[in-house]
Amino acid sequence: MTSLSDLSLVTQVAVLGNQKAFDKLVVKYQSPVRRFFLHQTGGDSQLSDDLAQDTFIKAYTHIRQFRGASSFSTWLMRIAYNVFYDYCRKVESSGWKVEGEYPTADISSSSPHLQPSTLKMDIHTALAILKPDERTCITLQLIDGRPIDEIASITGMPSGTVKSHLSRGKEKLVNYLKQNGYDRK
Amino acid sequence: MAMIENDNILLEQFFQEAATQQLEDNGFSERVSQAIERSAVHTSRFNLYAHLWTLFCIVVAFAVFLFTQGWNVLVTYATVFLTNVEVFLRTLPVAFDPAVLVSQFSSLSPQSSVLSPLFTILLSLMVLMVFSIIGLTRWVSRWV
Repeated sequence: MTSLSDLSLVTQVAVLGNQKAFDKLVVKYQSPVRRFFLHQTGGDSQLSDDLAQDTFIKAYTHIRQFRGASSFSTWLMRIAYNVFYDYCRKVESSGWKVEGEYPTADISSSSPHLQPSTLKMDIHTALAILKPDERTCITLQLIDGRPIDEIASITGMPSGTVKSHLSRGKEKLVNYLKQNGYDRK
Repeated sequence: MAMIENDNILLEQFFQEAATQQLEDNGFSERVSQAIERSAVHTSRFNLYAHLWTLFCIVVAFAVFLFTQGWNVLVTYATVFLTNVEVFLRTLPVAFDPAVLVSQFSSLSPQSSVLSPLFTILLSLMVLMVFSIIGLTRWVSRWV
């Protein structure tokens, strides 16, 4: 039902150029897309919103390329993933080191409404110990609840690579949580 | 096995709040909508400039055509082409006479005038096909 209504809205945008229909899709998917960026950027809400905006604009301008082979949500997240990695490449070329770091290490720049508790800060701190690919796979599975084949479709990685990223990422996270006493809570 | 299950439970618990977190819109959708409108205006302006440039190129090409008396060149080529067609049609019964064909091909005469109009027509058809394919491709690409 969800994908059917998405398909109907996408058709209205692609065929009739109905921007109101696209606005409905933005309202529906703004939360998962912005949340995805928040977790990739260490909770930088300003950067996350900018990247999410780029994602939706790209989705709007390329909506005719959506063939319905996957769900609209997967297609949108694939664009989000590409937008994030384009941004990473841009920042990396200006001196940022990708491995084990967020593109912006300044977690304090996050806005208060997105950082209400210490737990969220802990999640960003925990995710910071992962490599970018591991972080992406972990957030897509453990936070967005996506299956491995969907993660593979979003990231363009083979399923085996996704599985190994998940396995390594989980191992690192479990060790981190145990070291910080989360297993005793 | 039990340890792996415990680890998975630990991770699920750790990410539980983040998994159920719904971010408030806070005007985000409105900002996206405005950005899309700005982007659409930019795109339409770009298309307008592209059309104006195309029009300019057409006008320049037409002016060059007039100044270099391109019409005379076209008339000359058309006359030659039509003459070739006429020659071909007049010699058609002879061209397809097996006896004549055999004699012409066996002698391999360089002055054979029978194949020339045929070659002209085939060449014209090929050129016409190439232009049709280019035109069709451009027309399709506009709608895809």
